[in-house]
Amino acid sequence: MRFLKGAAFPLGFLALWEIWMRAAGIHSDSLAPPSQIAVAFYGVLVDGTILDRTGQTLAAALAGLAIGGGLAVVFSVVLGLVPTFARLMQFSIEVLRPVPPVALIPIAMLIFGFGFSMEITLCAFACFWPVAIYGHAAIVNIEPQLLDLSRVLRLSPWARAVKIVLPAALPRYFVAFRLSAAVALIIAVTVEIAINPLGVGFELMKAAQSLHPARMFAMLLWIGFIGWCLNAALLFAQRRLFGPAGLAARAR
Amino acid sequence: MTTEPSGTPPLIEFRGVHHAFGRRPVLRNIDLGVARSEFVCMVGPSGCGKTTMLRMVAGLLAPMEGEVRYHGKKVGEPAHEIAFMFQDYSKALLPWRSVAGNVSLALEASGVKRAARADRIRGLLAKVGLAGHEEQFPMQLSGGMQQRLQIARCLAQEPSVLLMDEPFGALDAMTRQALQDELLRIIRTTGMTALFVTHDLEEAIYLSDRVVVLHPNPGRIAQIFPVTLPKPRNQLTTREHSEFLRLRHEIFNFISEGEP
Repeated sequence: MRFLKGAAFPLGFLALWEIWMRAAGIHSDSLAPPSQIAVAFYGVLVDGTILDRTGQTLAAALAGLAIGGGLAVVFSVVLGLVPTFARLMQFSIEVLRPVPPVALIPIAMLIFGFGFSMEITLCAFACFWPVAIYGHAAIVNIEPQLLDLSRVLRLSPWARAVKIVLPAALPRYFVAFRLSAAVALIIAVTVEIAINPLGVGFELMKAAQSLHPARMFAMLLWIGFIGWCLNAALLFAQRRLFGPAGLAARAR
Repeated sequence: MTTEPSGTPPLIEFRGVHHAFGRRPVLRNIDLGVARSEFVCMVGPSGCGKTTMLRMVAGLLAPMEGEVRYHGKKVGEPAHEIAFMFQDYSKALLPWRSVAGNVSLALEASGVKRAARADRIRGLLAKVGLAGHEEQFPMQLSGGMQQRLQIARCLAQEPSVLLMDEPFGALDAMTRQALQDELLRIIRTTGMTALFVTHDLEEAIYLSDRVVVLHPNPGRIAQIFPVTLPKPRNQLTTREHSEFLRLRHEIFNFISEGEP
């Protein structure tokens, strides 16, 4: 029932769109009726284009997420555990963080040229900051009583990091990674649309430039679907991975 | 002011302890001795430095002036034979570890071999009435059970001193009484020395051998009341005992008069 209510608007919208374009006899270079979009989508799906391009985009985005996020985990742990380092880095972070990753496209182009390296680097840059900032906050705001506990039990610094600090911060790190995954996808598609001959963004651009609106809309819908799937998969993983601890983190 | 039982030297001793947080003095001129196997309760309003005193014995905080001694030696770092039971059980247990895992943490910290842990954990959980809950997570337990789990983790250290910071403050009356008796039974069988902070005057009298009343701003020892009620204590007969009622009146009046 809820699903039907939710579907009522988009289905009605599609129907009106179709009827309007057919009744008015519009043949446009920028618009296509939903029926043609569906046909175009079927075409790129069957000839393998969509799977190839999706693979490229996801590979670049996820590689960037892994590299940028991974470096950020190390960085944030050091920031959190060494306050002097955090104070030293504060200014640099505040200057570098607001730089829009897409503003680095020209530099990345000069250094890496077209291809995966450039796209992965920009995704990594974009993913670094959310993970670093969230992670730092997670470590600094760890429950003080847990730190007291680790002292009362005389845990070594290593045991404290591995048994108390990281597990306590882990759910928040995962949230940071989930948000960064969305950022990585945005940056990957943007870079592809702007310049890089790879992935779904490039395919979308190609369709637009060859005046093929049905195909363009098909790619657009597909990109939206990828984003939705990625978020849903990570949300599912978050619930499964953290179990009761994940519940606790979300209750806070 | 110091009134340790004659003869034996105190196991825990505060000597001329002063402390301040920033410019606000929290403890002034604290002298107190606690004998081995003694149960001492500290009562007083918020801000009288009760928790600060416990943290000093635990080695979590060094006094600015004076010293805290344990076994005749100055307390510097936390020690294995001193266990600390935290007030807020929901924040003192590891939510990502099961009940067994939480007890295991203390065993791991003491360097108990993996093979020996399972048996120890089972024994400790049985001792606090949590047998059969090994695989549950703290969030799935009631407040009373979480506090039992904290007791088990403390016992895993095999401590000779148990420090408790208002451990039963957040529990309902029935659970609280059950845990008081459980605690007294465990203390009796292990011979531990206990330092217990509470807001609840009756709880203090019921549990302890001596009640230390503190005054706030800055925290200082106002009076120490010895409790001579027969042991083992009993929720009905002890609380109806004429000596219990007399002490309750005396300390209650003392505290009320102390207030401006």
